[in-house]
Amino acid sequence: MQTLSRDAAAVKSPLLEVSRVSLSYELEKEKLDVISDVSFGLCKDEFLGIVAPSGAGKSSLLRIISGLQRPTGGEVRVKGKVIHSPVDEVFMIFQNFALLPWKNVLENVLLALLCKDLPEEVRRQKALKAIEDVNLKGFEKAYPGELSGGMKQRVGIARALALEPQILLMDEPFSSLDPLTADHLRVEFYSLLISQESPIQAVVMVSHNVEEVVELADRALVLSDRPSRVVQDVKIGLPRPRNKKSQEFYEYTDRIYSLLT
Amino acid sequence: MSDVIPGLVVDTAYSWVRMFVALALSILFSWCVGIAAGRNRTAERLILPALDVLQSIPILGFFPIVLVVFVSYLPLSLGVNLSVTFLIFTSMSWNIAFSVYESVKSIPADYLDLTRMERMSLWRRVTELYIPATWGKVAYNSATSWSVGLFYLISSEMFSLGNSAYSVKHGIGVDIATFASQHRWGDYALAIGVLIAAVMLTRFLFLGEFSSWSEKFKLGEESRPPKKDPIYRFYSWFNAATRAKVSSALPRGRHLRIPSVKLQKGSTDLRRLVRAVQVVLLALLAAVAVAAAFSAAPNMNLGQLGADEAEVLVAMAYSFLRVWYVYAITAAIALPLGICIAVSDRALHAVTPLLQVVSAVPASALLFPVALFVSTLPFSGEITAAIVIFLGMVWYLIFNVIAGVRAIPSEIRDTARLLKVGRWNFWRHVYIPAALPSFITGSITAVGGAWNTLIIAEYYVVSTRGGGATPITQVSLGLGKLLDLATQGGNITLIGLCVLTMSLFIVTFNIAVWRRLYNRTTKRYSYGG
Ligand SMILES: Nc1ncnc2c1ncn2[C@@H]1O[C@H](COP(=O)(O)OP(=O)(O)O)[C@@H](O)[C@H]1O
Ligand SMILES: [Mg+2]
Repeated sequence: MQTLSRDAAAVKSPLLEVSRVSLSYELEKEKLDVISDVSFGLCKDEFLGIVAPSGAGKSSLLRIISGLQRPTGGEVRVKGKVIHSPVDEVFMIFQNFALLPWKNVLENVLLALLCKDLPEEVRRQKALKAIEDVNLKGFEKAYPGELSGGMKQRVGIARALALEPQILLMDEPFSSLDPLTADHLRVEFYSLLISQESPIQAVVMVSHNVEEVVELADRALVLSDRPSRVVQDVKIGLPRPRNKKSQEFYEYTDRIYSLLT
Repeated sequence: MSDVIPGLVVDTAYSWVRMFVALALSILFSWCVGIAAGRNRTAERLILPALDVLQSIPILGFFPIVLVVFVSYLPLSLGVNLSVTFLIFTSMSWNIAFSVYESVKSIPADYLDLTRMERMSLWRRVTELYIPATWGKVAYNSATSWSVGLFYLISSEMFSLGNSAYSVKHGIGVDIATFASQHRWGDYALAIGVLIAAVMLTRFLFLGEFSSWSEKFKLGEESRPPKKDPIYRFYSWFNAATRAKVSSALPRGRHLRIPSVKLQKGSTDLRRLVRAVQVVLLALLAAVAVAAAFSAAPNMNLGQLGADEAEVLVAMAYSFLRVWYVYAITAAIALPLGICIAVSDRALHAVTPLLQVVSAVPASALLFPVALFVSTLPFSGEITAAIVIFLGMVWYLIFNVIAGVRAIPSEIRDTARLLKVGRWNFWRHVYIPAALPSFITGSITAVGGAWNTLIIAEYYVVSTRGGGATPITQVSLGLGKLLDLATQGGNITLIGLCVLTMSLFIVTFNIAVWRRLYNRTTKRYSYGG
């Protein structure tokens, strides 16, 4: 799916459906409304970017989609089935990488295959392949503490590749990297995840970085500040690879910025 | 029965005065010694090895000597009070002194340059830079020092030496020992209750506040906003206190950390050199001690010395086994229990207040009912010793395990849940490794403390004024017992050998085992963003 066919996506039944999800936290005294009535769908071969200001409830929304957290209202369906806890089809990549500091790169990736019913050797091969795919060959024995931020996130991506989920959620995956590293990794990461061989069929990426979303996403879901609701669902009809200096690119970012404020 | 409470409160107040005076003295002493060592290389090379040895010496073993000295030169009551305070002071000060030294050493160079450019006087430098820079670690170390000091307070306020018994007039330790030896268990329970209340009050009104107040003085590190949840705060506070104690109590070439960053190759030579200096100093100290022992007993022969040393070594082997089998049991209970408590918010909130209350009682205060309870069983002395050692260790382990597990970032927990690794794998790959660094930290403190606990765990007699000595508990063989007997009998040579052998062993063990383990685990196991 080098070029995602939006028309084709529209006719397929959605892989993921978020319907009327709302969330509020019970704090000591008051109730904090974080998400209010958010609905959207995600089809096969789609890359959805969710843009919202910091603290709007993006991470909470992703946790709900992944089944880690229950919404206060509404429901999430994966392939038509309502989810109440984590399911095999969905995995998430975190801003702070979530690597286990006491495991080396290979062991961290192997963790993803722990629950899969595979022979030891197959697991190893899969993990090594994933590490090679993210260009970390030679670093299998390194510990997270010895890696740079960009390399750590590569391990995070390798873990996702090895697990082969159908839906990949990403919570600001590039925001704790320096801008240069982030730029490189974005490009590389797109060609890796969204390739023909990739088992990953759809991506939801949350970000407060508008350029990043316009660069990567087929659709951008713009959310308001807390409590977040959907402001607009913007289709990004730019050809790939996208030129960040083009006039159209600016137009899209401008439009999303104006929706945010 | 409740009419004893006012008396107990007054007695606790007296005990607390001793504790606070000892703590204040410890901090003063630590500033003098620690700042000197941190500023001056010569002072550093003399003071550090001395502190390393001093902190591994079983201080209670020296107490009788201190007591005799103070009592023979001063009025009895003042003498006893001073020796108790002095004993607590020694139990509190070494690790505080180390932490002062460490803090002074880690003052960023910019600050030192600044004081130089402003041409500050030494006095102003001390009051405006060195002392504020040490507050953080001093506060955390005060917290652990307080529990250690309490252990000694309880066991020293009433003390029997040979056929005579000394005691302070007012003290919660006297009350506990008196009630217990007279089997007034109702009053004993009240005394323990008052003690617990006093400890909790001190922890929350003073030690906790002291630690959070001292956070303000952090130099060049970002300070984290304190977590709101008091339960969570308690564990991270406890863990920080244990870490501060361990990092200051482990002997190492710690003063080499700064040059070793750059001088990769040269630093190993330098390190070897300084280690050589330390070894020489240790050997000198040993020689001085042996010479002192000889001069104390001029008519002693080498054969006797050898026989005594053999006795000491055998006793130490017994004690070593005792400490380690009890440690193994304690660890086997504390690690899973701590993780079970830590992983469930509900369990954590339900159990923590209880744990805090129970842990407030020093093991020395529980010796009496424990000894009575098991007195009819076979090996009752051995069991009593095991229980007392266990009680001295278990809190350090449990609290630190809980702190370690609670410190796992939520993203790592979430990832493991998304990967559906399953309960057993969650323990094996996430919880246990996450708990490990703080578990090791807790173990170092616990095992180090256990060696000091031996002195009352292996042998304890109470003699009431004018009456004879009542043995409360004793084991067949052990270094703590041997040391006790040597002190009771005034056998200076044997005391010297016990203390020397034990200190050498502990220092070696710290260097060879704990330091390595500690460096290994703390290096890798930090969650970097
Ligand atoms: N467990 C929680 N309890 C209470 N409030 C929370 C909790 N988690 C998040 N919040 C609050 O919910 C809001 C949204 O948080 P989050 O989803 O992390 O936002 P974002 O990822 O968009 O920055 C924030 O104001 C945050 O303080
Ligand atoms: Mg977030």
